[in-house]
Amino acid sequence: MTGHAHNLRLLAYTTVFGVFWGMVEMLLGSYLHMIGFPLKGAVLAAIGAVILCVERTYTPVFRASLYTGAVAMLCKFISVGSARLSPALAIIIQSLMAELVLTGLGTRRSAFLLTGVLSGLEGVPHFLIGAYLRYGSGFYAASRDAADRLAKWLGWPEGLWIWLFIAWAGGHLLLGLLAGLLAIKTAGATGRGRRE
Amino acid sequence: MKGKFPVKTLAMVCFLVSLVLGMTPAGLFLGMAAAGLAWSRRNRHQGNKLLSWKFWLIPAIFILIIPFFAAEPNREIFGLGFSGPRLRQGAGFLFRAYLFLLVAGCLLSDLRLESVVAAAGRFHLPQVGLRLALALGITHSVHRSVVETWQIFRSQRAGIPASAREIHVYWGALLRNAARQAEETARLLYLRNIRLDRADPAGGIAPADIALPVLSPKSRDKVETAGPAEGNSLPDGGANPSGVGNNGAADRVHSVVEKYRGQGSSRSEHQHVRPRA
Repeated sequence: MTGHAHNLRLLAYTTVFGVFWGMVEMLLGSYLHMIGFPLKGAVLAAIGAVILCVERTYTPVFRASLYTGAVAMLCKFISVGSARLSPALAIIIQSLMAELVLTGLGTRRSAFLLTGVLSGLEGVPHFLIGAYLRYGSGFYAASRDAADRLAKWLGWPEGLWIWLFIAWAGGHLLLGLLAGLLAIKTAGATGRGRRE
Repeated sequence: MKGKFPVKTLAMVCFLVSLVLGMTPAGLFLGMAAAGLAWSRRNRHQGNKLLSWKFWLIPAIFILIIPFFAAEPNREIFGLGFSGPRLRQGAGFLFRAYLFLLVAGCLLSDLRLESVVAAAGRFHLPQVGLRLALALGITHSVHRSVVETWQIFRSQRAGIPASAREIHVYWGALLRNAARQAEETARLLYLRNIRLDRADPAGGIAPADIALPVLSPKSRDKVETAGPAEGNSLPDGGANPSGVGNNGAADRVHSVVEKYRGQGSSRSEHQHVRPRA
């Protein structure tokens, strides 16, 4: 295949998969938001990881994941009626991480698994930094203090907030792992799977 | 003068300085100024969202609960210790959250994909413009593919557990369809000799060129009468209709391609971008 055809192919695949991802974010994201689904960010990140991994099997070159994420980010960023800054940032950060992993490790199963896990865990620092920006620096201390007092009032052991935090971060990790496994299985279903 | 006054820039500067100054009187004053400026430029949707009680319910409950569990209560309410400073601090959190959403929404409210495409053309970034124009062209068909494939997938499986067990089949079908559409688009771009390594001779495309109707009456008839695409079935033998209804999208991709068509093609129209093995 010539370089020109290769570039066109990269352009078409990353654009189509990026729109696909952006569309899933808009449709499913709105639905999950409406029903107040817990860990909805991690669920959407997991789906994004599957799309990024499978797309990479079609165009296994550097910058493919970044292009895909950029298109999805624009779709999400400019959703109908309102701009969604935080999810758009999450998409581009996730694409950057996927780009690093898939460029370094290729399209093997371990790379898919790692991409899924990193995508799932992205929501943890994203939430903490987002809360800091929105509510200010005193937010963490106030939340921790309130959780400790609530635990004391309910007669639960002290340090409950640590366990709540671990459970929440663990949920992200679990969803990331599932995303990695789904990416491997889906790549197999599309006929693009590769053994180690 | 109304259009020339940099209200949004001023709102952003006030907001950023208020972040630095924190909850001091000057910081609060600048925060209020940013809120006022941003509010004057809000759009209808954003205004409705920010005024919705549902949107603020959970943060407000959280802020009201915190003073009851503060370490240093200074009064009693309903027989429980209550901290006034904590309530003021919580109100500050809510104010900052409101300000953040208001200013961010104000800055981004006028941004549309079409305007980004036009800006890419103005800044001589034809690849960006082509990518965005393509994204606009295929959005409707991808949307249809996601929804229709889900409906067929669900209708062939009894209950949520069965669907969840075979969710990879749904994803596989969706991603195969996306890949097929991408391959067709790449082939079309190649046959029309779209060059990515030189500036667009037309100087970009205008938003009006992209905003074509989804389906012409003729192509709509085809959609309604067409059956499932051949060779496009789910692994379990179920028909996958996502190949149906791409005619309008194809029209729009063609219109995008025409705008980006290069000069002096000597390539045969029978050459194809070969699918990867």
